[in-house]
Amino acid sequence: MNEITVLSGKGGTGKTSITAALATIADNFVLCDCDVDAADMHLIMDPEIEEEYEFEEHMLQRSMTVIVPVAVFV
Amino acid sequence: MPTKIAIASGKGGTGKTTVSVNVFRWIVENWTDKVQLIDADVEEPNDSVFMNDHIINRSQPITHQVPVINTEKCTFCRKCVQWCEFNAIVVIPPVKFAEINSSLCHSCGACLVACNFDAIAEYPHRIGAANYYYKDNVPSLLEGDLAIGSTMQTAVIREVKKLGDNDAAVQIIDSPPGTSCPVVESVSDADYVVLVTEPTPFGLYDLKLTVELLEDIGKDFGVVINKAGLGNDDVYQYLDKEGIEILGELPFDKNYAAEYANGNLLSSNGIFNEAYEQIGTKLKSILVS
Repeated sequence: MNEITVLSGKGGTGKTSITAALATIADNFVLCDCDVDAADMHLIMDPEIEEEYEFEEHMLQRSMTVIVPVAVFV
Repeated sequence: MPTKIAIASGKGGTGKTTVSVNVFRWIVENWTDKVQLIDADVEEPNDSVFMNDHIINRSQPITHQVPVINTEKCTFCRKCVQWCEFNAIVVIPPVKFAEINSSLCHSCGACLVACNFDAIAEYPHRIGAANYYYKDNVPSLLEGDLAIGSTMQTAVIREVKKLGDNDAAVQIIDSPPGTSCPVVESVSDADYVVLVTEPTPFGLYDLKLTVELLEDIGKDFGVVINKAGLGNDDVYQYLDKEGIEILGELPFDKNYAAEYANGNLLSSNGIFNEAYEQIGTKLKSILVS
């Protein structure tokens, strides 16, 4: 799987727009909204939530990963 | 104590810096010249770009205490590892390895309490800087600057605020975007919070999150609508329904955007001057009573 990260220093430059635009040209993809503080991708993609999990602090103890996708659209 | 106004927004790029810098200018011209702008958007502080009549005069490192394990005294019992909530300590007994990762450590001090062998001591570790920008021998812009790679935004904001000028009559705190700890720290001791939003679905969604946060922590606030004329009316309907005060509106204007791109934020455009006159007057009447 190829992974593309979209980021910017400044806010409001268009990360969400560019990411959603990239999604329109891919046919087999997973979109992760990692802007966990104010996640907006769902406003564009309008996804149906199929499964939902609570994220708890102790999960950090098992893996060093600190970036948490709050929603996965397939 | 200075009167404190925090400028915040959930969404990034809505115009916190624009509003902060222009409200600063309005206050200097119409309220008091004893005003200090504190740039608390420590991950990407931008106020200095637009305050180009201010010159950086000194920079003071901001540190926090980070524990270090003395492997001569350490018995590799791993008690500190179990106590650490932040997964910052690695102890591998067979190879007598014990180390604390300073970028994950939150300086909570739990490991110092946990250790029964006096093997952990604290040392200062640089997490950022406070930059003082002067105009007319007064540090009227104070900027928090997070060290690259550091996760200690909240601590840098707290320290920068402590370094604020207590003789100022008014302090403006330009907050980071989002709704988590750094934002809470930025607005925590504000007398009033100005929320900057834009009339788009994204602006509205993130505004609602921020309103929830401010209601939770019991802050008085009003809203500035930036880029007015873009998007739709949903944000107006929401504010009306919730009874939230609109302090002013800044119209979406291509010429202004072009000026902004050139680093010129201080408006000399009539429409904007009127808007800041309204915003400034409202803020003053709310805060001076």
